[in-house]
Amino acid sequence: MGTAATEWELWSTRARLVVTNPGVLAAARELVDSYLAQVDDAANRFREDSEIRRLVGRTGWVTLSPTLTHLMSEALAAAELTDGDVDPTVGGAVSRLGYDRDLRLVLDETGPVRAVVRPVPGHRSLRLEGSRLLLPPGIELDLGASAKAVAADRAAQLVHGAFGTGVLVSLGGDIATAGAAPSSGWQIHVQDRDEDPWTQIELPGGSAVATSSTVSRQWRRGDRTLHHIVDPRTGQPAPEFWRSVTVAADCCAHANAITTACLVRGAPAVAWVRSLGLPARFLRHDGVVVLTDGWPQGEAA
Amino acid sequence: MTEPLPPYSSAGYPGGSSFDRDRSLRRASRLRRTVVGTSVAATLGIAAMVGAGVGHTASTTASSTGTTSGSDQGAVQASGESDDDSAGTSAGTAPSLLPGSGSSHASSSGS
Repeated sequence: MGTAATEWELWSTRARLVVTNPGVLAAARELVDSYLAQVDDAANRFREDSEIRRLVGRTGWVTLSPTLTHLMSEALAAAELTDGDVDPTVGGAVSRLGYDRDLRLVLDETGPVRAVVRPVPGHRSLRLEGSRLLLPPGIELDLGASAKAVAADRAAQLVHGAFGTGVLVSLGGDIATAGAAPSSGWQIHVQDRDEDPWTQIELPGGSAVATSSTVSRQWRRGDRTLHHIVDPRTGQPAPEFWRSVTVAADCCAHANAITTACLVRGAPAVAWVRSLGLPARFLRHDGVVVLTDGWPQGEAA
Repeated sequence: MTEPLPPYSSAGYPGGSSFDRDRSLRRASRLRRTVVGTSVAATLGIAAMVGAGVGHTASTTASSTGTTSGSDQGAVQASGESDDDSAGTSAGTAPSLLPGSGSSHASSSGS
């Protein structure tokens, strides 16, 4: 079974769509583009006219669009799954760290930021009932930790539902699949940075893999190198114990929530992921690779 | 496992209001229960994959230095919960990975 693929830039990263029925690639791309445009309209916090930006400063009950409702629901599920290590209320903290615009623009700024160690408001301060969200004062939402993965899941399912094809959707390395895989399975190259050790896995159809990193999406402020994984308990970038963590799960939302939480948790994350029974690959900052059960042994040289 | 999706519509997603917080909590609980079940299966050798070789020493170290987090406790406690939202949704399981070979379809990198 042959595959066809298309790749494009999106959200300061790369998006990739692969289908096992090459004849539907163009139509599948249209469908994915249309859906991702809705996600962008709903949750791009760098656009003044996005729905999430228009919530800044609002308090009380607000009604969300169906797309933002879905993204928020998944963000809250990720927060519950990770006991708050992945939290949608980190927006204010991320902005204070200087990540308040597209990353390409953030990289142009070098002025110092003041380190404010302060817990974020926390997801339990929010209430989502249907499409209505209760916003306490002072909340700035940021779905950046979960939205790409959620969108990858949904985009893959939309394409499979519409065309019946096996499909892989990768949004910045958050990979979701739906339908039947190619005969050789979905071959996934796992590597964060070019200088990092890499491996390749065969992922079955209908499953997902995500990687989170403390060395990607970095920027400088004064003498500090910052990254985008914020510890909700401090409002500061998570300690750089792991360079990257990759997890395979039944959907990308879960895989991504767990990889992000692992970066926040540091060393204890390995025991946590083992308790979840998920295949995972941890790359420590000193280059040591840690695998959990179910992750294929061996690394490429 | 994700909820069944409403049909695609260029105007949005009908049924969006069904994504409520309670359902989110049930889904998180269900994943915990599922993956704990998978972990137990692995322990029994049903899905035996023994960690060895690359990273084995490091993983042992990480395990020995790790502490049982609140999530771990929650995962165990959730294993006996009932779940009225499970009907009609497939149980989430850890995917069975194999070593890769040949050209890759996609790359997973940090984002």
